[in-house]
Amino acid sequence: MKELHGIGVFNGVVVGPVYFYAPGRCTVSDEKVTDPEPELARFEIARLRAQRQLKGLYDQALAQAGEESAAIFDIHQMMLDDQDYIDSVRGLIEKGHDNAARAVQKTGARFARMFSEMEDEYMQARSADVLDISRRVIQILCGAEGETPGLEVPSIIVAEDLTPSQSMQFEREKVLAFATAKGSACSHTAILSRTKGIAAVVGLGEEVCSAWHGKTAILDGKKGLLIVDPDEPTLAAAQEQIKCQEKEAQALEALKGTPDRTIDGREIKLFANVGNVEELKDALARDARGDGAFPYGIFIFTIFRLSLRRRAISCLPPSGTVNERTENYFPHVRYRSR
Amino acid sequence: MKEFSYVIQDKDGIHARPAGVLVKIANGFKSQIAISKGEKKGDLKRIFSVMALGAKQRDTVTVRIEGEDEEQAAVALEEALKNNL
Repeated sequence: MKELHGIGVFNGVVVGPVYFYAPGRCTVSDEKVTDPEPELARFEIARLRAQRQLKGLYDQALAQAGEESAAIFDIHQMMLDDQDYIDSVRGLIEKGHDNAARAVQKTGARFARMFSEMEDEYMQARSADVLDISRRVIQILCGAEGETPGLEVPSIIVAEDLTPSQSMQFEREKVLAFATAKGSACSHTAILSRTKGIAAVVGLGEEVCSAWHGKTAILDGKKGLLIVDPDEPTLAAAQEQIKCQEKEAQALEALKGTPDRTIDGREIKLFANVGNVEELKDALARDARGDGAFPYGIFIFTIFRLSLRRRAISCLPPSGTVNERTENYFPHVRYRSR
Repeated sequence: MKEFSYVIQDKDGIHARPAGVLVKIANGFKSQIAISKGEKKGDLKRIFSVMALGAKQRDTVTVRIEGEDEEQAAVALEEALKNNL
């Protein structure tokens, strides 16, 4: 039994077989070209082909997961259309006589470095985007485009890292969870998992191993744990937790349509913090009474959790501190900050 | 030449998604469109350039537009900033 700790990205306990994902690599050579013209043409053809692939991924993501998730492929297309990016590749080919793949690789690395040097964790994670699009073009140039992995049974996808296009390849219904060796709370695996509601743990570290492929594992998205080859008691405990999860989910579902009242009988209005129409639909489906955003963009709550153990409705503010307006609005509600 | 400033409201600053919206709109116009944050300048038609500004919440960005369709571009971009950031 092997236990690894990482950053839990989305809650949920799942048990299932590991599918170890390791896409083929193609080697980029340092060989210089004598005539840059045909190389420029090769780059342009590969670039346009990558755009077509990204458009396809956008459409697929839009149908499966909605606009928010699909947006990243739109950004990727814009990155590949960016004049600075294109100028950089062309410059390396024309002046440096680099072969197209090498020029793209160098350009990708340069832009990735720019992002990773920024102070913002979110911006640092964007360096993965520019590497993703560069890798896509390189694979086309090397003729090593990856195959779509077919999952036979619902599995826990384990990989060193996952780019948005890589995560998209798997059928949604067959994905139990994602687990990556690399990644932060702002990485794409994290963002995509939260949007799709898939349990995930990132940043598990170097011990992540391809030999685990096919083995049973437990993933706990809340605790940030991956346990491969669990022993009987651990497995039984996890199955119990899953049962509780399901019961809780059913109980929460059953609360839909019931009045919003605290334990001492005070009627309150439950709102949700939404950012777009999809989220609004989702919030309304879960019985929110409306959008909690005030005219000047003051948001009160993000998530409400109705505790089964007879606690008052607890409000979990987004940043972990209680907004003083929240207190004034609901003085009689006991709240918990995370 | 048209110029206007805007204070970023979005807690995430100019992240990938709104940057993409701005760049798309900017590319629909013929004018030259620059965006700056303090000393840093970027080209609003180039997504890496915009993201490299690292504009965060409460930062003031200035958009400068020069060209035949600067009027329409100014209206569209100011609207876009208000709606997305």
